[in-house]
Amino acid sequence: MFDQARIVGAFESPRRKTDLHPFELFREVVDGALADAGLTRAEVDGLCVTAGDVAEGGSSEDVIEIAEYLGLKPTFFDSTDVGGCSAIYQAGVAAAAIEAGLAEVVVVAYAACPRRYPFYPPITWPIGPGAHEMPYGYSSPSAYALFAQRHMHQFGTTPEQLAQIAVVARANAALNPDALMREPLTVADVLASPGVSTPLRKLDCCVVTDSGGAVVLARADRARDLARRPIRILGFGAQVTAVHFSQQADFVTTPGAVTGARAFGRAGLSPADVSVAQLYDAFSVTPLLALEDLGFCAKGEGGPFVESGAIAPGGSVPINTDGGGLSSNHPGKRGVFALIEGVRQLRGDGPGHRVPDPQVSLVHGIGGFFSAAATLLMGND
Amino acid sequence: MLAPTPVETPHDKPYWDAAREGVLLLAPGGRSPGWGSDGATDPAVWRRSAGLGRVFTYTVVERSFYENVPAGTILAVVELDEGVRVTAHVIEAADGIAIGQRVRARFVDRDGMPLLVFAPDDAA
Repeated sequence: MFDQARIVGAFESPRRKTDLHPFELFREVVDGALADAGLTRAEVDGLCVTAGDVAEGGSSEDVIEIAEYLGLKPTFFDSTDVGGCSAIYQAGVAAAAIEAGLAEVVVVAYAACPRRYPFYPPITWPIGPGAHEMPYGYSSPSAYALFAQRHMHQFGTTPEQLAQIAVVARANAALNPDALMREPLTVADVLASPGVSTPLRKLDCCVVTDSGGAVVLARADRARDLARRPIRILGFGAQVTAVHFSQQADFVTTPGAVTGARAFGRAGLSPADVSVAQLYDAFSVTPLLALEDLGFCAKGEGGPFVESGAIAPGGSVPINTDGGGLSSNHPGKRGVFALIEGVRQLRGDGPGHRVPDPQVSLVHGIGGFFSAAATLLMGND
Repeated sequence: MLAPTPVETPHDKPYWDAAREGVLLLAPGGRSPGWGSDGATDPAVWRRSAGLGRVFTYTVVERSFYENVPAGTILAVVELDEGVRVTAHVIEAADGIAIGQRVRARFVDRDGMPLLVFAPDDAA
Protein backbone atom coordinates (compact mmCIF):
# COMPACT_ATOMS: atom_id res chain seq x y z
CA MET A 1 0.00 0.00 0.00
CA PHE A 2 2.78 2.44 0.84
CA ASP A 3 5.80 2.02 -1.41
CA GLN A 4 7.74 4.98 -0.03
CA ALA A 5 7.19 4.85 3.73
CA ARG A 6 8.96 2.62 6.21
CA ILE A 7 8.90 2.38 9.99
CA VAL A 8 12.52 2.85 11.04
CA GLY A 9 12.49 3.47 14.78
CA ALA A 10 10.49 2.61 17.88
CA PHE A 11 10.95 3.35 21.58
CA GLU A 12 8.84 2.79 24.68
CA SER A 13 9.76 4.47 27.92
CA PRO A 14 10.38 1.91 30.65
CA ARG A 15 8.64 4.24 33.12
CA ARG A 16 5.23 3.42 34.59
CA LYS A 17 5.23 6.12 37.31
CA THR A 18 6.95 9.48 37.11
CA ASP A 19 6.94 13.00 38.48
CA LEU A 20 8.18 14.35 35.15
CA HIS A 21 5.99 16.76 33.22
CA PRO A 22 4.45 14.94 30.22
CA PHE A 23 6.44 17.09 27.80
CA GLU A 24 9.65 15.67 29.29
CA LEU A 25 8.28 12.20 28.65
CA PHE A 26 7.54 13.24 25.05
CA ARG A 27 11.14 14.40 24.75
CA GLU A 28 12.46 11.15 26.20
CA VAL A 29 10.56 8.92 23.81
CA VAL A 30 11.09 11.06 20.71
CA ASP A 31 14.84 11.07 21.31
CA GLY A 32 14.72 7.37 22.15
CA ALA A 33 12.95 6.47 18.90
CA LEU A 34 15.27 8.68 16.84
CA ALA A 35 18.32 7.08 18.48
CA ASP A 36 16.82 3.66 17.74
CA ALA A 37 16.59 4.67 14.09
CA GLY A 38 20.02 6.29 13.98
CA LEU A 39 18.51 9.73 13.28
CA THR A 40 18.64 13.11 15.00
CA ARG A 41 16.02 15.79 15.68
CA ALA A 42 17.61 17.95 13.00
CA GLU A 43 16.47 15.43 10.38
CA VAL A 44 12.82 15.41 11.45
CA ASP A 45 10.38 17.30 9.24
CA GLY A 46 7.12 15.73 10.42
CA LEU A 47 5.53 15.48 13.87
CA CYS A 48 2.36 13.69 14.95
CA VAL A 49 1.23 13.83 18.58
CA THR A 50 -1.90 13.87 20.69
CA ALA A 51 -1.20 16.10 23.66
CA GLY A 52 -4.34 18.18 24.25
CA ASP A 53 -5.62 16.62 27.47
CA VAL A 54 -4.38 17.81 30.86
CA ALA A 55 -2.57 14.53 31.53
CA GLU A 56 -0.80 14.94 28.19
CA GLY A 57 0.35 18.45 29.10
CA GLY A 58 -1.05 20.49 26.24
CA SER A 59 -4.12 22.33 25.10
CA SER A 60 -5.85 23.00 21.77
CA GLU A 61 -2.63 23.71 19.84
CA ASP A 62 -0.87 20.73 21.32
CA VAL A 63 1.26 19.82 18.30
CA ILE A 64 2.71 23.35 18.27
CA GLU A 65 3.46 23.11 21.99
CA ILE A 66 5.32 19.82 21.56
CA ALA A 67 7.16 21.10 18.47
CA GLU A 68 8.23 24.17 20.43
CA TYR A 69 9.38 22.05 23.38
CA LEU A 70 11.46 19.84 21.10
CA GLY A 71 12.86 22.72 19.05
CA LEU A 72 11.19 21.43 15.88
CA LYS A 73 9.40 23.40 13.16
CA PRO A 74 7.76 20.59 11.20
CA THR A 75 6.28 21.16 7.76
CA PHE A 76 4.03 18.14 8.15
CA PHE A 77 2.08 17.66 11.36
CA ASP A 78 -1.01 16.04 12.80
CA SER A 79 -2.68 16.17 16.20
CA THR A 80 -5.86 14.24 15.49
CA ASP A 81 -7.41 13.11 18.74
CA VAL A 82 -9.71 10.16 18.17
CA GLY A 83 -8.96 8.63 21.53
CA GLY A 84 -6.78 5.61 22.10
CA CYS A 85 -6.13 4.72 18.46
CA SER A 86 -4.88 8.20 17.54
CA ALA A 87 -1.23 7.16 17.11
CA ILE A 88 -2.18 4.20 14.89
CA TYR A 89 -4.23 6.56 12.72
CA GLN A 90 -1.33 9.01 12.68
CA ALA A 91 1.13 6.32 11.54
CA GLY A 92 -1.10 5.77 8.50
CA VAL A 93 -1.40 9.49 7.87
CA ALA A 94 2.36 9.93 8.25
CA ALA A 95 2.97 7.15 5.73
CA ALA A 96 0.58 8.85 3.31
CA ALA A 97 2.43 12.14 3.79
CA ILE A 98 5.75 10.48 3.01
CA GLU A 99 4.16 8.79 0.00
CA ALA A 100 2.94 12.15 -1.27
CA GLY A 101 6.30 13.81 -0.78
CA LEU A 102 5.09 16.02 2.06
CA ALA A 103 7.64 14.70 4.53
CA GLU A 104 10.77 12.55 4.73
CA VAL A 105 11.12 11.74 8.45
CA VAL A 106 8.03 11.75 10.67
CA VAL A 107 7.87 11.12 14.40
CA VAL A 108 4.63 9.78 15.89
CA ALA A 109 4.77 10.21 19.65
CA TYR A 110 2.52 10.00 22.69
CA ALA A 111 3.04 10.50 26.41
CA ALA A 112 0.82 11.20 29.39
CA CYS A 113 1.08 11.30 33.16
CA PRO A 114 -2.46 10.59 34.40
CA ARG A 115 -1.35 9.72 37.90
CA ARG A 116 -0.31 13.31 38.65
CA TYR A 117 -2.67 15.07 36.24
CA PRO A 118 -5.79 12.91 36.40
CA PHE A 119 -8.35 15.37 35.03
CA TYR A 120 -10.21 13.79 32.14
CA PRO A 121 -12.14 16.31 30.06
CA PRO A 122 -15.73 15.40 29.23
CA ILE A 123 -16.16 13.53 26.00
CA THR A 124 -18.66 16.19 24.90
CA TRP A 125 -20.24 19.30 26.42
CA PRO A 126 -23.74 19.32 27.96
CA ILE A 127 -25.09 21.63 25.27
CA GLY A 128 -26.44 20.59 21.89
CA PRO A 129 -26.53 16.81 21.46
CA GLY A 130 -24.47 16.32 24.64
CA ALA A 131 -27.19 18.01 26.72
CA HIS A 132 -29.18 14.79 26.35
CA GLU A 133 -26.24 12.49 27.15
CA MET A 134 -23.66 13.95 29.52
CA PRO A 135 -26.02 14.50 32.48
CA TYR A 136 -26.18 10.72 32.90
CA GLY A 137 -22.52 10.39 33.86
CA TYR A 138 -20.46 9.11 30.96
CA SER A 139 -17.38 7.06 31.80
CA SER A 140 -15.14 4.68 29.89
CA PRO A 141 -15.99 1.66 32.05
CA SER A 142 -19.72 2.25 31.63
CA ALA A 143 -19.38 2.74 27.87
CA TYR A 144 -17.52 -0.54 27.41
CA ALA A 145 -19.83 -2.26 29.87
CA LEU A 146 -22.84 -1.36 27.69
CA PHE A 147 -21.17 -3.29 24.85
CA ALA A 148 -20.19 -6.23 27.05
CA GLN A 149 -23.71 -6.49 28.47
CA ARG A 150 -25.33 -6.51 25.03
CA HIS A 151 -22.81 -9.02 23.69
CA MET A 152 -23.52 -11.36 26.59
CA HIS A 153 -27.25 -11.02 26.02
CA GLN A 154 -27.08 -11.57 22.28
CA PHE A 155 -24.41 -14.27 22.06
CA GLY A 156 -24.09 -15.82 25.50
CA THR A 157 -20.57 -14.51 26.05
CA THR A 158 -19.54 -15.18 29.64
CA PRO A 159 -17.55 -13.24 32.25
CA GLU A 160 -15.10 -16.17 32.25
CA GLN A 161 -14.41 -15.71 28.53
CA LEU A 162 -13.72 -12.00 29.04
CA ALA A 163 -11.52 -12.79 32.04
CA GLN A 164 -9.46 -15.17 29.92
CA ILE A 165 -8.33 -12.20 27.81
CA ALA A 166 -6.98 -10.53 30.95
CA VAL A 167 -5.28 -13.77 31.96
CA VAL A 168 -3.50 -14.04 28.58
CA ALA A 169 -2.32 -10.43 28.83
CA ARG A 170 -0.97 -11.01 32.32
CA ALA A 171 0.91 -14.16 31.29
CA ASN A 172 2.65 -12.14 28.55
CA ALA A 173 3.31 -9.26 30.95
CA ALA A 174 4.98 -11.65 33.35
CA LEU A 175 7.83 -11.88 30.86
CA ASN A 176 8.04 -8.10 30.32
CA PRO A 177 10.34 -6.47 32.90
CA ASP A 178 8.72 -3.06 32.37
CA ALA A 179 5.08 -4.20 32.66
CA LEU A 180 3.22 -2.73 35.63
CA MET A 181 1.42 -5.93 36.65
CA ARG A 182 3.35 -9.19 36.41
CA GLU A 183 2.01 -11.42 39.19
CA PRO A 184 0.14 -14.52 38.02
CA LEU A 185 -3.55 -14.00 37.33
CA THR A 186 -6.37 -16.54 37.04
CA VAL A 187 -9.93 -16.29 35.77
CA ALA A 188 -11.10 -16.66 39.37
CA ASP A 189 -8.96 -13.66 40.38
CA VAL A 190 -10.64 -11.52 37.72
CA LEU A 191 -14.14 -12.60 38.73
CA ALA A 192 -13.35 -11.90 42.39
CA SER A 193 -12.09 -8.36 41.74
CA PRO A 194 -14.34 -5.42 42.74
CA GLY A 195 -17.15 -4.50 40.34
CA VAL A 196 -16.74 -1.30 38.34
CA SER A 197 -19.74 -1.18 35.97
CA THR A 198 -21.61 -4.40 35.31
CA PRO A 199 -20.53 -6.77 33.85
CA LEU A 200 -16.96 -5.39 33.99
CA ARG A 201 -14.80 -5.84 37.09
CA LYS A 202 -11.57 -4.10 38.09
CA LEU A 203 -9.33 -6.71 36.45
CA ASP A 204 -11.35 -6.43 33.24
CA CYS A 205 -10.06 -2.83 33.08
CA CYS A 206 -6.68 -1.51 31.96
CA VAL A 207 -4.02 -0.25 34.32
CA VAL A 208 -3.30 3.48 34.72
CA THR A 209 0.33 4.41 34.22
CA ASP A 210 2.52 7.36 33.33
CA SER A 211 3.96 6.24 30.01
CA GLY A 212 5.23 7.34 26.64
CA GLY A 213 6.32 5.94 23.32
CA ALA A 214 7.26 6.96 19.81
CA VAL A 215 7.80 5.51 16.36
CA VAL A 216 9.68 7.05 13.44
CA LEU A 217 8.71 6.72 9.79
CA ALA A 218 11.03 7.61 6.95
CA ARG A 219 11.14 7.52 3.19
CA ALA A 220 12.36 4.18 1.86
CA ASP A 221 15.58 5.47 0.34
CA ARG A 222 16.51 7.06 3.71
CA ALA A 223 15.45 3.92 5.55
CA ARG A 224 17.97 1.81 3.68
CA ASP A 225 20.92 3.47 5.41
CA LEU A 226 19.55 3.56 8.94
CA ALA A 227 20.23 1.49 12.03
CA ARG A 228 17.36 -1.04 11.99
CA ARG A 229 15.83 -3.21 9.29
CA PRO A 230 12.95 -1.16 7.86
CA ILE A 231 9.36 -2.26 8.31
CA ARG A 232 6.77 -1.92 5.56
CA ILE A 233 3.20 -0.84 6.10
CA LEU A 234 1.18 -3.38 4.14
CA GLY A 235 -2.31 -2.07 4.79
CA PHE A 236 -4.15 0.64 6.69
CA GLY A 237 -7.73 1.60 7.45
CA ALA A 238 -9.44 4.04 9.80
CA GLN A 239 -12.93 5.27 10.59
CA VAL A 240 -14.86 7.47 13.01
CA THR A 241 -18.50 6.83 13.80
CA ALA A 242 -20.31 8.25 16.83
CA VAL A 243 -19.48 9.56 20.27
CA HIS A 244 -22.78 9.29 22.19
CA PHE A 245 -24.31 6.08 23.54
CA SER A 246 -27.68 6.74 21.91
CA GLN A 247 -26.00 6.86 18.48
CA GLN A 248 -24.23 3.51 18.61
CA ALA A 249 -25.40 1.10 15.94
CA ASP A 250 -25.86 -2.16 17.81
CA PHE A 251 -23.44 -2.35 20.79
CA VAL A 252 -21.81 -5.51 19.43
CA THR A 253 -20.02 -4.16 16.35
CA THR A 254 -17.17 -1.66 16.39
CA PRO A 255 -15.65 0.48 13.60
CA GLY A 256 -13.04 -2.29 13.40
CA ALA A 257 -15.37 -4.08 11.01
CA VAL A 258 -14.72 -1.33 8.48
CA THR A 259 -11.11 -0.53 9.29
CA GLY A 260 -10.06 -4.18 9.24
CA ALA A 261 -11.70 -4.76 5.89
CA ARG A 262 -9.99 -1.68 4.47
CA ALA A 263 -6.57 -2.63 5.84
CA PHE A 264 -6.75 -6.28 4.74
CA GLY A 265 -8.23 -5.28 1.40
CA ARG A 266 -5.44 -2.82 0.58
CA ALA A 267 -2.80 -5.33 1.73
CA GLY A 268 -4.27 -8.22 -0.18
CA LEU A 269 -4.13 -10.24 3.03
CA SER A 270 -6.62 -11.99 5.30
CA PRO A 271 -6.69 -12.77 9.04
CA ALA A 272 -5.19 -16.19 8.31
CA ASP A 273 -1.99 -14.39 7.23
CA VAL A 274 -1.54 -12.62 10.56
CA SER A 275 1.27 -13.96 12.74
CA VAL A 276 0.72 -11.73 15.77
CA ALA A 277 -1.82 -9.05 16.70
CA GLN A 278 -1.91 -6.11 19.07
CA LEU A 279 -5.60 -5.58 19.78
CA TYR A 280 -6.12 -2.50 21.92
CA ASP A 281 -7.20 -3.71 25.35
CA ALA A 282 -8.61 -0.81 27.35
CA PHE A 283 -11.01 -3.43 28.73
CA SER A 284 -11.23 -7.20 28.34
CA VAL A 285 -14.21 -6.90 25.99
CA THR A 286 -12.28 -4.77 23.50
CA PRO A 287 -10.02 -7.48 22.03
CA LEU A 288 -12.97 -9.88 21.92
CA LEU A 289 -14.93 -7.49 19.72
CA ALA A 290 -11.81 -6.83 17.63
CA LEU A 291 -11.29 -10.54 16.95
CA GLU A 292 -14.83 -10.71 15.55
CA ASP A 293 -14.79 -7.42 13.64
CA LEU A 294 -11.37 -8.04 12.07
CA GLY A 295 -12.55 -11.44 10.89
CA PHE A 296 -10.54 -13.85 13.06
CA CYS A 297 -13.86 -15.42 14.00
CA ALA A 298 -17.53 -14.83 13.23
CA LYS A 299 -19.60 -12.17 14.98
CA GLY A 300 -20.71 -13.60 18.29
CA GLU A 301 -18.03 -16.31 18.35
CA GLY A 302 -15.38 -14.27 20.19
CA GLY A 303 -15.97 -16.03 23.51
CA PRO A 304 -15.43 -19.59 22.23
CA PHE A 305 -12.54 -18.35 20.08
CA VAL A 306 -10.79 -17.00 23.17
CA GLU A 307 -11.56 -20.19 25.09
CA SER A 308 -9.92 -22.25 22.34
CA GLY A 309 -6.51 -20.80 23.24
CA ALA A 310 -6.11 -19.14 19.84
CA ILE A 311 -4.97 -15.83 21.37
CA ALA A 312 -2.39 -17.30 23.74
CA PRO A 313 1.26 -18.00 22.88
CA GLY A 314 1.32 -20.91 20.45
CA GLY A 315 -2.22 -20.17 19.26
CA SER A 316 -3.24 -19.13 15.77
CA VAL A 317 -3.12 -15.41 16.63
CA PRO A 318 -1.24 -14.52 19.80
CA ILE A 319 -2.38 -11.11 21.00
CA ASN A 320 -1.03 -8.36 23.22
CA THR A 321 2.31 -10.00 23.52
CA ASP A 322 3.85 -7.38 25.84
CA GLY A 323 1.00 -7.51 28.32
CA GLY A 324 -1.08 -4.80 26.67
CA GLY A 325 -3.14 -2.19 28.45
CA LEU A 326 -4.55 -4.77 30.80
CA SER A 327 -1.16 -5.51 32.36
CA SER A 328 1.72 -3.46 30.91
CA ASN A 329 0.80 0.19 30.51
CA HIS A 330 -2.05 2.57 29.72
CA PRO A 331 -1.61 6.33 30.13
CA GLY A 332 -4.92 7.30 28.53
CA LYS A 333 -4.25 6.47 24.90
CA ARG A 334 -2.34 3.29 24.08
CA GLY A 335 -2.14 3.19 20.30
CA VAL A 336 1.55 4.08 20.17
CA PHE A 337 2.42 1.08 22.36
CA ALA A 338 0.47 -1.25 20.10
CA LEU A 339 2.51 0.15 17.19
CA ILE A 340 5.78 -0.29 19.10
CA GLU A 341 5.01 -3.88 20.07
CA GLY A 342 3.90 -4.65 16.52
CA VAL A 343 7.33 -3.46 15.37
CA ARG A 344 9.19 -5.29 18.16
CA GLN A 345 7.56 -8.59 17.23
CA LEU A 346 8.78 -8.27 13.62
CA ARG A 347 12.25 -7.40 14.87
CA GLY A 348 12.26 -10.34 17.28
CA ASP A 349 12.98 -8.19 20.34
CA GLY A 350 9.60 -7.95 22.07
CA PRO A 351 9.92 -7.74 25.86
CA GLY A 352 7.08 -10.18 26.61
CA HIS A 353 6.17 -13.24 24.58
CA ARG A 354 7.95 -13.44 21.22
CA VAL A 355 6.11 -15.06 18.32
CA PRO A 356 8.61 -17.15 16.31
CA ASP A 357 9.37 -15.94 12.78
CA PRO A 358 6.43 -13.52 12.36
CA GLN A 359 5.55 -12.48 8.81
CA VAL A 360 2.59 -10.15 9.28
CA SER A 361 2.09 -8.04 12.40
CA LEU A 362 -1.35 -6.50 12.93
CA VAL A 363 -1.92 -3.42 15.06
CA HIS A 364 -5.50 -2.41 15.82
CA GLY A 365 -7.01 0.13 18.16
CA ILE A 366 -10.31 1.72 18.96
CA GLY A 367 -10.83 5.19 20.34
CA GLY A 368 -13.28 6.82 22.70
CA PHE A 369 -16.43 4.82 23.25
CA PHE A 370 -15.98 2.64 20.16
CA SER A 371 -16.12 5.95 18.35
CA ALA A 372 -13.13 5.38 16.10
CA ALA A 373 -10.80 2.64 14.98
CA ALA A 374 -7.55 2.26 13.07
CA THR A 375 -5.98 -0.92 11.74
CA LEU A 376 -2.47 -1.23 10.38
CA LEU A 377 -0.71 -4.29 8.95
CA MET A 378 3.09 -4.39 8.84
CA GLY A 379 5.82 -6.75 7.72
CA ASN A 380 9.59 -6.80 7.45
CA ASP A 381 11.02 -5.14 4.34
CA MET B 1 -16.84 15.62 39.81
CA LEU B 2 -20.48 16.22 38.99
CA ALA B 3 -22.35 14.96 35.95
CA PRO B 4 -23.33 18.24 34.29
CA THR B 5 -26.67 20.01 34.15
CA PRO B 6 -27.87 20.38 30.55
CA VAL B 7 -27.72 23.80 28.92
CA GLU B 8 -30.76 24.72 26.86
CA THR B 9 -30.40 26.45 23.49
CA PRO B 10 -32.95 27.95 21.06
CA HIS B 11 -32.27 24.86 18.95
CA ASP B 12 -33.76 22.43 21.49
CA LYS B 13 -36.04 24.78 23.45
CA PRO B 14 -39.19 22.89 22.32
CA TYR B 15 -37.77 19.73 23.89
CA TRP B 16 -37.10 21.34 27.28
CA ASP B 17 -40.42 23.24 27.33
CA ALA B 18 -42.25 19.94 26.82
CA ALA B 19 -40.00 18.12 29.30
CA ARG B 20 -40.93 20.63 31.98
CA GLU B 21 -44.55 19.53 31.36
CA GLY B 22 -43.56 15.86 31.56
CA VAL B 23 -43.87 15.30 27.82
CA LEU B 24 -41.20 13.55 25.73
CA LEU B 25 -40.82 15.09 22.29
CA LEU B 26 -38.96 13.53 19.38
CA ALA B 27 -36.97 15.83 17.16
CA PRO B 28 -37.39 15.93 13.42
CA GLY B 29 -34.89 13.62 11.75
CA GLY B 30 -35.48 10.73 14.18
CA ARG B 31 -31.98 10.65 15.65
CA SER B 32 -32.74 10.88 19.34
CA PRO B 33 -35.41 12.74 21.27
CA GLY B 34 -33.54 15.92 22.03
CA TRP B 35 -31.56 16.26 18.82
CA GLY B 36 -32.75 18.95 16.53
CA SER B 37 -32.29 19.05 12.82
CA ASP B 38 -33.58 21.43 10.15
CA GLY B 39 -36.43 23.53 11.41
CA ALA B 40 -36.16 22.23 14.94
CA THR B 41 -36.76 25.64 16.52
CA ASP B 42 -40.39 25.37 15.34
CA PRO B 43 -42.23 23.33 18.00
CA ALA B 44 -44.76 22.18 15.39
CA VAL B 45 -42.27 19.86 13.67
CA TRP B 46 -41.53 17.84 16.79
CA ARG B 47 -43.44 14.57 17.42
CA ARG B 48 -44.79 13.54 20.79
CA SER B 49 -43.49 10.17 22.01
CA ALA B 50 -45.79 7.77 23.82
CA GLY B 51 -42.93 7.45 26.29
CA LEU B 52 -42.74 3.66 26.13
CA GLY B 53 -39.83 1.51 25.10
CA ARG B 54 -37.52 -1.40 25.88
CA VAL B 55 -34.09 -1.58 27.45
CA PHE B 56 -31.57 -2.16 24.62
CA THR B 57 -28.55 -2.38 26.86
CA TYR B 58 -27.59 -1.22 30.35
CA THR B 59 -24.95 -1.25 33.04
CA VAL B 60 -25.16 -0.87 36.81
CA VAL B 61 -22.55 1.63 37.98
CA GLU B 62 -20.68 0.02 40.86
CA ARG B 63 -17.76 2.40 41.11
CA SER B 64 -18.96 5.90 40.43
CA PHE B 65 -16.89 8.83 39.15
CA TYR B 66 -19.68 11.37 39.76
CA GLU B 67 -21.04 12.48 43.12
CA ASN B 68 -24.53 12.91 41.64
CA VAL B 69 -24.53 9.52 39.89
CA PRO B 70 -24.19 7.21 42.89
CA ALA B 71 -23.17 3.57 42.90
CA GLY B 72 -26.22 1.49 42.05
CA THR B 73 -27.37 3.84 39.28
CA ILE B 74 -28.60 1.98 36.22
CA LEU B 75 -27.28 3.63 33.05
CA ALA B 76 -29.19 2.42 30.01
CA VAL B 77 -29.89 2.88 26.34
CA VAL B 78 -33.64 2.62 25.79
CA GLU B 79 -35.22 1.97 22.42
CA LEU B 80 -38.52 3.82 22.25
CA ASP B 81 -41.46 2.21 20.48
CA GLU B 82 -41.07 4.93 17.86
CA GLY B 83 -37.72 3.34 16.90
CA VAL B 84 -35.49 6.05 18.37
CA ARG B 85 -32.87 5.31 21.04
CA VAL B 86 -32.07 7.44 24.04
CA THR B 87 -29.52 7.40 26.87
CA ALA B 88 -31.10 7.54 30.33
CA HIS B 89 -31.17 6.20 33.87
CA VAL B 90 -33.62 3.48 34.90
CA ILE B 91 -35.10 4.12 38.34
CA GLU B 92 -37.38 2.20 40.74
CA ALA B 93 -35.69 -1.07 39.78
CA ALA B 94 -34.37 -2.41 43.06
CA ASP B 95 -34.49 -5.98 41.72
CA GLY B 96 -32.48 -5.01 38.67
CA ILE B 97 -33.53 -4.91 35.04
CA ALA B 98 -33.07 -7.00 31.91
CA ILE B 99 -32.43 -6.27 28.26
CA GLY B 100 -35.80 -6.21 26.54
CA GLN B 101 -37.66 -5.04 29.63
CA ARG B 102 -40.55 -2.62 29.08
CA VAL B 103 -39.99 0.84 30.56
CA ARG B 104 -41.93 4.11 30.70
CA ALA B 105 -40.44 7.61 30.47
CA ARG B 106 -40.67 10.16 33.24
CA PHE B 107 -38.98 13.47 33.91
CA VAL B 108 -37.42 14.29 37.28
CA ASP B 109 -35.90 17.59 38.33
CA ARG B 110 -32.15 17.74 38.84
CA ASP B 111 -30.60 21.11 39.61
CA GLY B 112 -33.46 22.98 37.97
CA MET B 113 -33.53 21.07 34.67
CA PRO B 114 -35.68 18.08 33.72
CA LEU B 115 -33.83 14.76 33.54
CA LEU B 116 -35.37 12.02 31.39
CA VAL B 117 -35.49 8.71 33.26
CA PHE B 118 -37.38 5.47 32.81
CA ALA B 119 -39.09 3.14 35.24
CA PRO B 120 -40.05 -0.50 34.68
CA ASP B 121 -43.55 -0.88 33.30
CA ASP B 122 -44.36 -4.53 32.73
CA ALA B 123 -48.00 -3.68 32.07
CA ALA B 124 -47.06 -1.50 29.07
